[in-house]
Amino acid sequence: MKTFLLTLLRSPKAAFSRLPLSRQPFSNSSSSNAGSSEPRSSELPRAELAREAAGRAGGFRRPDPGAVGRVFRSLMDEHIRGETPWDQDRLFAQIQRDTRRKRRGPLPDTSSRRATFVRLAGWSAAPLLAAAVSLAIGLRQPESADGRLSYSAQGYQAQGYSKLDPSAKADAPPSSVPEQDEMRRWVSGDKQLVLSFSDQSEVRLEPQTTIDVRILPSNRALFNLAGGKVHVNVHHQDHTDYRFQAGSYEVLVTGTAFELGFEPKAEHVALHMREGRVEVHTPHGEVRVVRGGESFERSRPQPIEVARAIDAATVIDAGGAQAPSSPNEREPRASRRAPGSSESERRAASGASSEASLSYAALARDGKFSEIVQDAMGRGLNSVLSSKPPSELIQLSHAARYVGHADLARPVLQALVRKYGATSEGRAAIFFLGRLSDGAGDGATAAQQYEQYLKLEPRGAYAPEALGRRMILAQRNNPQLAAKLARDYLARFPQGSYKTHASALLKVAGLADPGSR
Amino acid sequence: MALTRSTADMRLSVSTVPKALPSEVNQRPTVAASRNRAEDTEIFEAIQVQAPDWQRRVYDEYLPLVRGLVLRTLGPKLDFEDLIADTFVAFFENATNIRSAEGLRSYMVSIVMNVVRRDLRSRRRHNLFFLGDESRKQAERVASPDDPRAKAALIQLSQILNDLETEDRLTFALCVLEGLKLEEAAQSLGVSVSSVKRRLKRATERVERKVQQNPLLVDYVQERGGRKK
Repeated sequence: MKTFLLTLLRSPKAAFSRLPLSRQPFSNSSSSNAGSSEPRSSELPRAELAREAAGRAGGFRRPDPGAVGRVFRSLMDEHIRGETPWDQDRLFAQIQRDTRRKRRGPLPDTSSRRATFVRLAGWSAAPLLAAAVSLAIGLRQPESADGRLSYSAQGYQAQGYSKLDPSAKADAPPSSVPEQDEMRRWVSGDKQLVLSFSDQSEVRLEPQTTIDVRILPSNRALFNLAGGKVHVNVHHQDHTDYRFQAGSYEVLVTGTAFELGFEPKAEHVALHMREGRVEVHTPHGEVRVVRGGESFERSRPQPIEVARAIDAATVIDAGGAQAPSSPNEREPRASRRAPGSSESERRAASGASSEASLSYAALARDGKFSEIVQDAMGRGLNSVLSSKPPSELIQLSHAARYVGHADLARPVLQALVRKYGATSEGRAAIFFLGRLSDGAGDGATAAQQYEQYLKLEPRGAYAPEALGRRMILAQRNNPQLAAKLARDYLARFPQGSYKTHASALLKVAGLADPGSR
Repeated sequence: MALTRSTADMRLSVSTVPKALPSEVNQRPTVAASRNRAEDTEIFEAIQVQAPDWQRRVYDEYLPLVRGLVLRTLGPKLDFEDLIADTFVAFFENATNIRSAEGLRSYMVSIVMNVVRRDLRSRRRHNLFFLGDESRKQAERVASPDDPRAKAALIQLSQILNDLETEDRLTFALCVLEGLKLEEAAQSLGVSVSSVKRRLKRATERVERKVQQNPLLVDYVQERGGRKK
């Protein structure tokens, strides 16, 4: 007992580890073994079995300790390789600018008495500053009576319509202060029009500009620039969120001043940043960060577009919408599309329920895979397959695979191959069908599908993965083919994720690594 | 940008770097192993004589290293360019103080670690005051071309990294994700080898414990971990 107390004082963990109870964590399950002198070797399997049982019941399972690091490493490597290309020259120019600006001689001597005094003064000033800021916040006029974001138009000649009640007749012109959650179209006419927000933000419309504005209850301000040019000055706050849609591009504002122009016929988007930074989400799901002094211009999106909507109730016009000719005009959005709209837009517009549908790309970006699957199952597979473009269908298949609905993912992928076999999504679907077959243990089918994908897309995004997986499948029953594929893999993708595996295969087969020569 | 390491520390950190090269097929190339000594010597000489293009040469040579370190240490992140820029600005400001070509690379790693430390501190402050995890939101917004399951696993593993103490996290990133040897990591972090061992053990145990509690990650690790890529 004395020894235990002494050990407890020095190291509690060591003391408790010497107790008989803690030696065998699973011994309670079989009382006959507790305290018995049965050899430890015979108890271990029981402990392992108990751990296994806990794992099967959904409790704690212990992965291979080294595997966590390996998987983490390979995921990071894949992420780094898959990063969106960025302008390295621009970054270097920025670094040079910053270096010139910051070249101020040697670092300050932090050990001097003066430096110590300054540091102490700084620390003591912090509470005073905090108190002053709190006072300023307390005295500041609230943004609106209920703390919600709101806005008003100055000198407007706008035509308004209510998104929430499209069938209602507006007998009187709408007021200059829209209601919460009301979508309103603003048309600047021959003069500039200024929309002033309660958080001091401002959106100034150039003449002949048309924009739809809606403030959601969550203080998210949604803008759809149908045509023209706007000057934006946003005072970023954490509880507000400004998003601009121009055609199929989406601009997420993170506190900044910029000009955004959109020409619907040419689908030309022009963004010029004056200060701050925004994120531009392209139709392909890429995210571009545009900083002060930079510009972003695109003329016409590539053929494969993502019909993007921010949420179910707010499907924003993907460009080409004309300003209504009268305040009472409330025709369906699909019929107001300009004749110059692209094919994918027309396809999206032709679906009877497309206006009320969720954007799978947007949901996938937020990781809401279950919602995608639920939406598709609620609407019916045939309806989804006939109304959604291929870029949305591939997102649906990803979501279905991720939440374990292979029964949904497979028909979606098969439909993609059947209907859009010539597009990159259709070809990618072949690869993902291979993944499904692979996961279901059907190696022969998976091998065929990987080979088919590699034949169609030898330089495709999934080519390294397809070749790597094909190699692993061949390793099971055809080592010679596996070695050949490994050699091919290392020659084509020397930095690929399967390079170690391929090198090991070659080593076993006694062949030379093509990269080592 | 103010450096937290003094020039004296820097001189200590640029002294020695292990010369061992990976011999086994499954061993990852490390910072030390992948470096090009001849290139380092040329760059060092260019810095010493202040050649007109020395900054560009440093940038071209070390950009992949800096980018990889930043992304591996912080996980998926949208504004990693700012951190890369901060790293190079700090390097350019103090490059003339470096005393040997062997120290270039390890000095760069040290600066990256300082920049990352500062970023982690500011993230923690942000999370504390605004009660929101901005890094998670950023990670979810980063485009992912491949498997959504892999993206989910990456986000969740990054979340586990976010929960580690800053020093444990940096040690884990350098030793496990970047594949540095203990001595190299100790040199880059400015601590002793035994400290690195202690931090690595603590971080690894914590990461494994967190992974065990996450069914998705357990399955994913078991599925992918066997490949030993």
